[in-house]
Amino acid sequence: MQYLRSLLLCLSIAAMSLAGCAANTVQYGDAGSAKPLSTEFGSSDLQQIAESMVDSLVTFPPVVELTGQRRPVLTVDKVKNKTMQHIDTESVTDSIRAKLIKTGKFRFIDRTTDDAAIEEIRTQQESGLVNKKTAVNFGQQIGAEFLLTSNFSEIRQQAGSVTDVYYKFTMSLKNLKTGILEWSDEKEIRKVLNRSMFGG
Amino acid sequence: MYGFICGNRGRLSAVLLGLSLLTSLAGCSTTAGIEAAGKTGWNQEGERILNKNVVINNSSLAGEIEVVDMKSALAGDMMKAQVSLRSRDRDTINIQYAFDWLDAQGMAVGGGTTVWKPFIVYGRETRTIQGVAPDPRGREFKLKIRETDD
Repeated sequence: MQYLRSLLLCLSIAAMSLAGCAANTVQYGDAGSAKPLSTEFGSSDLQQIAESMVDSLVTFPPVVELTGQRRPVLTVDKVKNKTMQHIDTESVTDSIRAKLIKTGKFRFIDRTTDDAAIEEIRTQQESGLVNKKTAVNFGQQIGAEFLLTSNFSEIRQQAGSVTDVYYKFTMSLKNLKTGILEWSDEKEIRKVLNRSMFGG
Repeated sequence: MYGFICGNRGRLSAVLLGLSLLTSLAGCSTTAGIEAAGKTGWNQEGERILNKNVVINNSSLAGEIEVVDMKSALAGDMMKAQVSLRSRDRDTINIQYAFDWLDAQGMAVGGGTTVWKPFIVYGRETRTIQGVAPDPRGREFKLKIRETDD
């Protein structure tokens, strides 16, 4: 009887400690990690594309010449997402724009915040709250000289247990006045999944 | 002796298992294995030079990958860095790299996240890695190379 009681105690302690081990844990990860979890478009792919495009644009000789004397005004077009995935492509162009601004070589126009800007200018002009000398007038903004356009495509192949996904991000800088593409480059990423026979 | 080994076979296998576990864990390490640093300087004639320095923290990775050359150039006022790597291995090597940038005073520029990028070097191949400073202040680079964290 004594033996049975101590065995029961041991088992309950073991069960409690196991339950402790099974608890979910959360920890901070490295935002710059290049560890792929799947063939889907991931954070590392986004960072690689942004850095590659920015490095290429700011070191392209005609662009170096152009930005040597002044900071051209650019605007970013929406990415044409031709992949089969739902990707927040604005996040990719946001990263590219932020990096380009940080180089100090370009200035940008952001059309996504125009509604708020119009509302603010209207308030300054019409509410009577703002000193007319400091109020901003309509029609004073600078027009963009260049447009950054992008295409994002994917080729997916599957053979047996192997899935091969090829991504291609193409970006171009279009002169709005002449229509000429002043710069263009592409970043390719290939991800291969080998599905294990014994894995999930 | 034979009796000792046989009698302690369980203990011996436990030690061997522990050693092999340690070895496999060391293989998965994500420490900065090799650091190739280049700092802009000027010689007595006033010409721009690159002071080079390679730090090896992981001798097994350094046995597979060798830093053979470091160069830098200016694109306008932006510093470009190029590091050539040569594989000493016959097999394909998967590594990751990241650039850190510092200004002339040694202060970090760019800030934010250190972005690690995957890089494949085939057997006995020489490949170059290029990086561009995040802004015109960058005058010193540090290329960090490590094994993949999988």
